[in-house]
Amino acid sequence: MPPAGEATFEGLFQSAPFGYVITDHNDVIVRTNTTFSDWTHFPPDQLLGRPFRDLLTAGAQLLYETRHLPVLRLQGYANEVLLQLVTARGTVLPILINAASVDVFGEPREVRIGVLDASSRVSYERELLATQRSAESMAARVTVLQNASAAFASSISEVEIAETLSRIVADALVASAACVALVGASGGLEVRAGTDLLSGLIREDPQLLGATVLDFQKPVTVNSTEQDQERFPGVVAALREARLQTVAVFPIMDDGIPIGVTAAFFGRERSLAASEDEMVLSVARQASQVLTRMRVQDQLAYAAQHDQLTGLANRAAIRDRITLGLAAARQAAQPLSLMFLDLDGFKNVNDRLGHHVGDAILIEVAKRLAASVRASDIVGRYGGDEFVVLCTSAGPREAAAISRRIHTEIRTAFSDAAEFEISASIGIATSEASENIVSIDELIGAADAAMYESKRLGRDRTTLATL
Amino acid sequence: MPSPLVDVLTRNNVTVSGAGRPIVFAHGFGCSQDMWRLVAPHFADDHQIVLFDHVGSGGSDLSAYRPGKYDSLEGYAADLIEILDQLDLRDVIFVGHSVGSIIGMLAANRDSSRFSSLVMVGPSPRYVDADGYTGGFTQADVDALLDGLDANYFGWSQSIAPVIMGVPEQPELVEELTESFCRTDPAIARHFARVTFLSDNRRDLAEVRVPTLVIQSSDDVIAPLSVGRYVADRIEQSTLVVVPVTGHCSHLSAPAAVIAAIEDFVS
Repeated sequence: MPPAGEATFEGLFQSAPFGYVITDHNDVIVRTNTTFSDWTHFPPDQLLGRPFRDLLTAGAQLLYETRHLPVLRLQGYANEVLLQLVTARGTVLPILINAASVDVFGEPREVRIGVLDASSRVSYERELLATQRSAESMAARVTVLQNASAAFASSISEVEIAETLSRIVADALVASAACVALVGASGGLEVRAGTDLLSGLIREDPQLLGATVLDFQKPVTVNSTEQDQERFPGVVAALREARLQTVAVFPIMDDGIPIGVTAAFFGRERSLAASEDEMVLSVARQASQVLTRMRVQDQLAYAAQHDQLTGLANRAAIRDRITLGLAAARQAAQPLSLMFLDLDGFKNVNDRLGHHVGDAILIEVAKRLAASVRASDIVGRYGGDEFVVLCTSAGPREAAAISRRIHTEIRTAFSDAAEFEISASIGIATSEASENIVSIDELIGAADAAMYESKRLGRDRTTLATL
Repeated sequence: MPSPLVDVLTRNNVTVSGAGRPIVFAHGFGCSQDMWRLVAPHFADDHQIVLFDHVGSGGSDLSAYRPGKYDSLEGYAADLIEILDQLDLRDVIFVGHSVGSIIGMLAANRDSSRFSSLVMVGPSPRYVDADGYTGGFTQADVDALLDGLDANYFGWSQSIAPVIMGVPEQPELVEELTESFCRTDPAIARHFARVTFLSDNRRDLAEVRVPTLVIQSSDDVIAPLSVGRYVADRIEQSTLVVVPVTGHCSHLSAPAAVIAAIEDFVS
């Protein structure tokens, strides 16, 4: 081979349309071609003796050290690795490298790296990726919202809705856990689903994280920063205790009124994007709408079964219970007693002191009745000043014992009408276990007639009906 | 407690060999248990060697991946504890590389009863700089890494992903994939990178109650010497050994030095 040929080959190598770099096994550059030096704008002597990874951006170094070098060492080569190189002018050059390790006696001796300029590939890929990612995150949000409405639609109880919301929040935010707490009857927050990993903190912390969110009506995220340490010292300490680093709490809003909170717990420090906050708030809004609808239905169902003034079972409900009670008593071969009760002297109170005092007396009578009967008995208001007590598994003797307690209770003076004498006339009808089938109307008719018999005999007494 | 419904050993692709005092190796981000092939065999004579892959890496069961669980290193630490429980290992020498060492530390902090010593190779409790602390990176650097992962898995996910889902007409691709080193699912790799490089475990260092060896490369951009010192300073019973080597994977580039340091420490 003539020297000119070698020179030509050397020239081809030096000015090839790709960079060529040789490093030792410690990544230190020992040789490069002119193309590489031209691309990086480093004169060759500034490249030699330098680790290749020093030429990379910090982000590319992370990939190079944690992924590329191990693969190269283990596999002997690593192809098509995309990296970012910082030139002597400070500009960033995307490069695609193929690297091969050359071993001598099984020991890595040097690494040969082919370098391509990947500027154009990178720019279109970046656009593609950005588009793909924004489309994906949009699609993911739409999916979350759609799945949420389907899941809420099939939920049949408050707890189920809370569980669904808790699960969606945990999944959507990639949280370690989540919980849902709703404002309860007492006005405080009660955890209805999920686990409050801060053990009661959402409710009971002196700094009242949950209450703060209810007040703000905006999401609050607590990390373990010094600033948060000052604002929510209890929360930060509890996070540490639970091996967590962040908690995010969102209000559940119903038509401008906060009805609860949902909290997401994270094992590492997280700051949520505005889009994530918005997504959770909107799922929470969906949940609150279903909750409200359900609560209205519950109220209607309650109203259909209860007397508005006293809260006792109303006439329709008590008839249902008698029907069920008769069937169950027959099945179990047990007696069932029905007590009819009419107040004595009530009309006088109503006429003299007005309806509002009359109403107060009725409410008080309801309370006293409930206090006089056994836990298994059912008290209802049949209408006006007429009440009923359904005593399960009770014959005449047991029912009479209950009626004695009732007489004593009702005779006790009422504070709203202390100067008036009020008592109860009671009639009891019993369906005995051994008897023939008694209908609901027979039972009610007999108890009612016995009650009138008590009235006729001079009031404030109990009469047992014979069926 | 390990759930009886989860086969922990399959989930984490646990391999056990040899007999003697147990030594457990945990890999870091970007690779798999393959990483220990130059170090682990050396201990085969007098140790029970346990290797495993974190869920999402290597030969682990990808279907066990739960984003919520693995959104923090605690999820990985819980898996490690389950592995030790399942094998009922005691007096364990735990050797972890990079984030694998932090995972081991968290597991030992939760329940130190099974650990006799921790060996942390190239640990960093926090990669992103914070006030008064130099991790060596900024949030923007980590974002660039995530972009870089996407770019590098761009081709991977397009051409290889269908294979994983089962394209029967190209069995040789499946073969190639299972043979390739440090294979990992791109979506999981991205999440693992986020969790690895955005976690802050500085406060956990002070809770370590197990004798600890920190093996630090003299020149490592991922976990610089100052970070290795920071770790050793804050762990009560710790020894720092600086290995004269360039790069983050001293167990690959200088296995003899790493082996010597471990042997010195545990003997």
